[in-house]
Amino acid sequence: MGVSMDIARGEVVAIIGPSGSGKTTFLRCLNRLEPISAGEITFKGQLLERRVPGQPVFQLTGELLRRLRMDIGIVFQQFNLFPHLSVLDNITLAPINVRRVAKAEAEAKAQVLLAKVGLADKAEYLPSQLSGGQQQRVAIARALAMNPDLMLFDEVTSALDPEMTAEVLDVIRALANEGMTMVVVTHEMGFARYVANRLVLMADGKIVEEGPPERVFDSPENERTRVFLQAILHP
Amino acid sequence: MPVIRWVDLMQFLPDLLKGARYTIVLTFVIMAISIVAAIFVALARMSSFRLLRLPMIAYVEFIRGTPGLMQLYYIFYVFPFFGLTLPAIAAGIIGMSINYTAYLSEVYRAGITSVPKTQMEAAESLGMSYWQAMRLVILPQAARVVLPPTVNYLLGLFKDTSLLSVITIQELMFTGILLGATTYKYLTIFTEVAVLYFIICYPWALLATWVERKMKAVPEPAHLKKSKPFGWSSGPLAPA
Repeated sequence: MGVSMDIARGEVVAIIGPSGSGKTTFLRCLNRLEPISAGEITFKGQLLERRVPGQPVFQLTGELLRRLRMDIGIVFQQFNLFPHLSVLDNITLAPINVRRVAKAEAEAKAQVLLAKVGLADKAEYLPSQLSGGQQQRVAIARALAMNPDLMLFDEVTSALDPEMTAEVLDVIRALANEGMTMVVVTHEMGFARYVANRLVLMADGKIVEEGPPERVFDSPENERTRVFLQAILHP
Repeated sequence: MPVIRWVDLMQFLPDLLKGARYTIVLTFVIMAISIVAAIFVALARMSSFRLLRLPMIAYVEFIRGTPGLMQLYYIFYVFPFFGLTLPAIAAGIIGMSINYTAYLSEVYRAGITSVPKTQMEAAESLGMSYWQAMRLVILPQAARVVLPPTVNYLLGLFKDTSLLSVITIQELMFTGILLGATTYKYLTIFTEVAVLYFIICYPWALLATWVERKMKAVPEPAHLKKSKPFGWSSGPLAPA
């Protein structure tokens, strides 16, 4: 119909495309922040949503949806940190209250994650006291604290200046190298090319082209891809 | 030239102080009830269950559309016709609580909806249930927004208790009216009443201002903290 893909464990899928192409909407469908209008989504064998003619409509809600969301982490473009909590509390809030982890254990894990994203000394800071790049890295740590099987990144560097963008991309690349399954919606072509296993180009709500990044960048098959890459890479 | 005599002031003071005590106690009782009840009304008002939401909307709109005085009269003078006769204090407390709960619930509702939807999205994406997200993420943020207007409303409550005088509750206003009716020394009495109300209310008004300032304060970015330049720590041009 418009979009169809299978994502294997450990794969890093980068989704690029013009604004309004549906990249963010597609990403948000994956953890049911957006409803689908037709089709089917399955995660780890569990059906999320199905709207297929001839079959009963199904959508995951309530407790089951909550459980599923614990295994999918998402990082937003505008960070969406909890402003009334310290960095440490931001990261430990979900593990303590959702996964019922003991406070000491959660805080220890949080410190490890903070060190991993390069913010080991910022545990007691409030989000408003951090720069954009730092806040985004805290957001990544917050999502990782729940031990997700899949990480979704929604244009996470679009609100950052180039220097902060680099520090965030470093964290994401390290994550990819550790084998995390990821879907990354991005405008950062360098990242898409060198970190992703698979590049997907979306336009007007459809997948236009798909394949290994080098192949798509160097020899695009579709005209629309060519037009997009032309505009992006040679402004 | 009308004159206020010290001896008169002293004569009326004990009774007026008794009335003032009623005013204060009534205010805090109604305050306590309204602050809590308004949370439930606000949440019900935003509920997806029409059976919960619509009655709350009707209740709030009715209270907002009619005078508080009329509401008090209704509970005290009209309800007996339906078989419910309440003692004055009960009627007064219930009536004012119903009134203030309605207004406060609207303040709370505005505060809760002022928290960006993305906060709920972030919380739910981490696996929190709607109520967990409310308790841990939304309501704490809403509380910061809601606190200044709530404290201001409650300042009004101190003075609105004067309405209870019309249903024979012997708070400060009633006491003043009664004393005036028997002694005709209106100048002395009502000046004294005014001063007592001011003494009761002004500390609360200061609290309201303090709360407003406290809520506005934005924590200083740690890496931008500057040391004050020599000689600039005080004076009219010093940094605030």
